[in-house]
Amino acid sequence: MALLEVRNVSKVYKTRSMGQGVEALRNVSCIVNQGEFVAIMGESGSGKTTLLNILAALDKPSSGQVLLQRQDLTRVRERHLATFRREHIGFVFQDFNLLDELTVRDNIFLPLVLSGTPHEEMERRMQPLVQSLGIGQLVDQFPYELSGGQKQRVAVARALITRPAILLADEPTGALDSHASQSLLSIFQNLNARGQTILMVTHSVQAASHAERVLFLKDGRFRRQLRRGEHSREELYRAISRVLEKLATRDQGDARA
Amino acid sequence: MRRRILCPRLAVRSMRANARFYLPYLVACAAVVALHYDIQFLNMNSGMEQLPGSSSVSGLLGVVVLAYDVFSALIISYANDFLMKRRQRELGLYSILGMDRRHIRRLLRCETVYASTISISGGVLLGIAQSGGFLLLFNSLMPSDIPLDFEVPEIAVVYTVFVYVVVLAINLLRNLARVSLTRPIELIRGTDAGDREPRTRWFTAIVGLLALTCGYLISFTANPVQDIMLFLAAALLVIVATYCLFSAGSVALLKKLRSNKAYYYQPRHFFTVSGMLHRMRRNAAGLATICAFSTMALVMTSTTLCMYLGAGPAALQTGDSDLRSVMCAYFFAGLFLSALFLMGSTLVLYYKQVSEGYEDARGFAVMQQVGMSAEEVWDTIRSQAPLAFLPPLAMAACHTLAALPLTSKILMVLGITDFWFVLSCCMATLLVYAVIYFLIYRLTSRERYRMVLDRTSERWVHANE
Repeated sequence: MALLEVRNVSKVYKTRSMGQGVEALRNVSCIVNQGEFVAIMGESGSGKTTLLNILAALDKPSSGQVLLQRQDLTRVRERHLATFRREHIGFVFQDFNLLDELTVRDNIFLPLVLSGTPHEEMERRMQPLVQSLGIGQLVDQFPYELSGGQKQRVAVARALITRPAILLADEPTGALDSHASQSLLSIFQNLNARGQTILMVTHSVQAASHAERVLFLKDGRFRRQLRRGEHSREELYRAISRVLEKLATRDQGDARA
Repeated sequence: MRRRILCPRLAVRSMRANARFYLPYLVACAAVVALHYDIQFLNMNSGMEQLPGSSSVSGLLGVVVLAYDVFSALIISYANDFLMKRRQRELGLYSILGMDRRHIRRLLRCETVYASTISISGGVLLGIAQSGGFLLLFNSLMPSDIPLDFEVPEIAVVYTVFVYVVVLAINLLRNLARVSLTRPIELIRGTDAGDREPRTRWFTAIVGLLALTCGYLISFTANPVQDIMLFLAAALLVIVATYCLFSAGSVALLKKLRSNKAYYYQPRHFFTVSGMLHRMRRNAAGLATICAFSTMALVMTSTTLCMYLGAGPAALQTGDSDLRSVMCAYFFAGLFLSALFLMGSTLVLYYKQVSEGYEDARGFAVMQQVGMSAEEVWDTIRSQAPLAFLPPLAMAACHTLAALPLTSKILMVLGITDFWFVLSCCMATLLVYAVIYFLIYRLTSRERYRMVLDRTSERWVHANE
């Protein structure tokens, strides 16, 4: 079943000096099914952050539709957007975006506080979540007392506590060392195994190789797609590297021609 | 040759870029200078010697000038430090881009030269313009056949310029020392260093309560006419108590609120309590300063008002022009110092608001990403701001009322025995001050919101790159 559907989305950034503007996304379409773990790969400037912002309803496409659970995001009214985001989408950022003045517990509670959830309900939801993420001991500490990996797990807990339909992750391993990256990616895989839909944007081959499906975005278009299928993670890793290499060399060919 | 030109240009540009912080600083300096000149104008006026009781009048104004110098130097230094803290990042960046310390020092020197030229000359001109008004007021109040003439006493100009050149030079030296002592990387980090959560300091809170009790007790029991030191002791105790209570008491209270889960985990309370708690350590000093300045302005204004209204007519009836001169001098002393303290608290309030807006911005960008609408964000700021700025006013009012027994005993010596009259003078002053404070608060709030808005949208642009 399609959970998220992107239909012919284009995004043009108007520049003040030039008339025509920059096309960040060109007629992009894709489908993310319920329970999938999808990675979108692309270098900086490929349009992946633009796409993610549109999927998160932080930005509007110039044309096209985005359907989340059959609801058209581009048609949600401005004043309902915040609530919509809070209730349907969980977010994980590269630089964590935790608030330093709040304890770990209060950081995780943040979206529920905004929704006006009773305090007992917040505790009830948080306990199993922090246990499974291995941050149960840290809830009374402050973000500045934690390591990067711990901070990112807190951010994951904050994203999941609203039980969102989809978890969007923007370069989640970008600020982590290899050990912390590895453990975060296995957390993603575990979450996915329990049915959480995840869409991750990254330029790390290592991170993308944990997904079931990898989409390659370049110059605002999807160029290729890889499925893990029966293959191992290592095989997927090599396949991704090959695709990236091909995309890069073809580019050089284009430049020469 | 090119280097010689570069530096002044850079100085002008960087002052312009920091206009939001620099402009209030220049305005404050100019206003302080102007008022200083006006006191000197009255004090040094050639017609002063002809006045009845002139020696006691000029003696009193001399003391006022001294107090004015000290407090105005403190206020200017506060503004200077605020400005420097905000600019650490910029200066750090310059030095990483290859500007060595010699150049940074030169940049700071250039800026100080510009800033002091603008503010001191502007201040003196403003002071000369204002002095006409003060002259009219003075002549209408003073019992003299020979009114003072409008003039520009050279000595007043020289003295005023001298005092503030010294004050600004001292601040420049402090800034230069700071630049020399800090490594560039620390300059860059500067304001980003997050404050740790303040601990509940019970000892400080208790000291504060004790000091407040003692100060109030002195006011209610002692006789200041016999021992003027008691008045100073009470004032000192209350100031200490204010600082202790704002820094420790507020943290204790906020933590209490936070431990009440049903209260704390509501959207409004949640951001207010956690945000206030986080910033209380730095806020406390600023709020306590606002409170102390406000208290001084209030006590001084209400007492001199009472003195003037109460003793003036009495002196008029007895025809004692010496007494009336002294009353008039007291009135002006109160007027000048109250104006200074009002300026001081306005400046602190403004800088407090701007720096809070600056810090709010990051938090609000995150909250919008987590699922807060822009409206909810504004709601939160609007409910947060008054909570921080009402306590200083409330406490200042409390101090002023507690000082009534003390001031009324002093007034009694001057023949003002009607306590209700003293009380109503005090209440009227409180009311007017509250209105002024509220207006200043509203004006500075606008600046704060703009600050948050600018910074928040800036972050969004970054996020969307």
